[in-house]
Amino acid sequence: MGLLLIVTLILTMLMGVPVGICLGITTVVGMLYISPDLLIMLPQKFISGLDSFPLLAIPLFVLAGQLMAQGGLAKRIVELSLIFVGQVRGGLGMVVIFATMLMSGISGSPAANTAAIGSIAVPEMKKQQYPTEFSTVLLAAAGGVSTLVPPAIDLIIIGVIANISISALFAAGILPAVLCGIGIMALAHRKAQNLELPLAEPMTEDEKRQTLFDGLLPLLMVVIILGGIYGGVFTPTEAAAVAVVYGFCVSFFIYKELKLTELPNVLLKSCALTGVVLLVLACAAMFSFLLTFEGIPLAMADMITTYAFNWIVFILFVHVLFFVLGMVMDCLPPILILMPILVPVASAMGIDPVHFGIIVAANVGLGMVSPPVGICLFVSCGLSGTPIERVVKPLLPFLLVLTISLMVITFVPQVSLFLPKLLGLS
Amino acid sequence: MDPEVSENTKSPAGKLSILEWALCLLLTAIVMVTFVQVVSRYVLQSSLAWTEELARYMFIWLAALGAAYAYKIKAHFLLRFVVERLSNKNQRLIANLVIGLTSAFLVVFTWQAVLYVESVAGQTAPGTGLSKAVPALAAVVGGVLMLFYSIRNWYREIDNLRDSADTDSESK
Repeated sequence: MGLLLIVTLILTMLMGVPVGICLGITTVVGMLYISPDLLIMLPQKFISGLDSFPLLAIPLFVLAGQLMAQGGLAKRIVELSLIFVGQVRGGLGMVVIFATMLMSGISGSPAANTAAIGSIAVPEMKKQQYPTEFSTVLLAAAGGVSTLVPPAIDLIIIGVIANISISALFAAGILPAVLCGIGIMALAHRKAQNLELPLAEPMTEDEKRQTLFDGLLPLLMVVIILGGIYGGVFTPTEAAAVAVVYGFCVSFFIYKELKLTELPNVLLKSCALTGVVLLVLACAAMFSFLLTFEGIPLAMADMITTYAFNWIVFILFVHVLFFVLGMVMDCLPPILILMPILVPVASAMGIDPVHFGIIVAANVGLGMVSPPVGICLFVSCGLSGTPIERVVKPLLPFLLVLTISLMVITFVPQVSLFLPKLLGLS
Repeated sequence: MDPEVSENTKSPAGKLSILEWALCLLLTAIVMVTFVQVVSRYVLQSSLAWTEELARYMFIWLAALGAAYAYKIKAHFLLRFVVERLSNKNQRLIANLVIGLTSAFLVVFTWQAVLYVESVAGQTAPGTGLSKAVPALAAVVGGVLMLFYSIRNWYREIDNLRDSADTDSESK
């Protein structure tokens, strides 16, 4: 039975069937094998998998991000960041990292953030004689870190699937994100010194004041979202809706950079991403039902505990598993299928579920930067027009830094758990 | 996501299809209903009973229609690196197999969804008083639309493959 499912799943995926449908086909095969009476569970699990208020945050945060990119808020975040790190060598590179992470504080989609900041920053870096490979790699690495910055979609999905508090996950992601961010910023600074990149033109006091003033409104959005969630004012989903309304008002009434005719495209982009992500999620809910019906998660958990005799072996196994799967496909299907199985095992081994969620999110972020299918790498290569082969070598030191950060996040639980504990969330 | 998505989604406003209109309206309505929920709690000091449920039901529709839309603009996650290496003839064979399996699944799924809608039609949701058939119907409509777009994509792909096969043989 288990073998039949694995073979069906892998074959359909290799044939190029959309991943969600692969899960559906495999579920039908399994159900027909057991009893056709089970088929009625297909639509039932499809609907109940989607029927969750926290999931609504996904299209809303993506929409907020799209509005910011179109409405000029993302541009102002880039300019604002220049004040802080503009006068350091490689400053613009650091700005890219800093702005991508700030932007992630509003929109949960790493690919969208990479695209939003990249379309502004890549031409700017070219102007300052950054080698194209270097700027591409910087952008991709920054995108990879953004899986940890609240309100990342991955964290929302991990929370919903594994039944972990999303607010706690959001809080837990902040320090690890800062750690990774500082790591790649330091590397960018060193590289810039080696390349002897020029410094940015210094700003006058007036310009500084103006930029700071302009950047206040986008910054306020981060304050509203995070402050609102942790002040107990609203849930993450409500925060997302407020962010959309705020982003719309600022870009439409204040900046006047958003036109009503652009609105359908902005909405549809968010709808398309929602459709892609949630088809996989809903089909994974059907597939998980079948697995649970057959007792496969329990059997797998037993097997893991037999071979992975302590938590270090277990966690390394999890890392290898997600990294290998992340090399050939998008990170979402592995999270959806494996997290319900792995989280109980992790808890049994004494790993805090919140910490475990962050470990997986960090790993997934690393996967987004790694060739051959890392989505952030794809987006940034697309933006700068560089073939992936040419960026592999300059990418390696960044991957190394991110891997070291991943290990720190894994083996020092306090990095993740300090903030949630401080806020009384876990 | 496929970087091409951004290109494909560019359709001028006013020329939106019914599906696209429905998606835009649903997403806007979700934003508004959720926003109203927050406002009514803090400004009017009363929590509304129906907002969360209504938002969830619209979200189920958004997800089902969005999945069909993603088929339309070919945005779904899929692995292409194996198929791309095959010869033109084998690619056509695989495309036929893929559509066979996909449509078989979608037909079974939609048919079961119809049965499911019938079985829950009598139940009412506590918050909004809507029939539970309202969210369940999303699975039926989503299934039918996905079937339609997957067959359309298949038809076009086969056409393309045949065309490029013709030009290959002509150039020889």
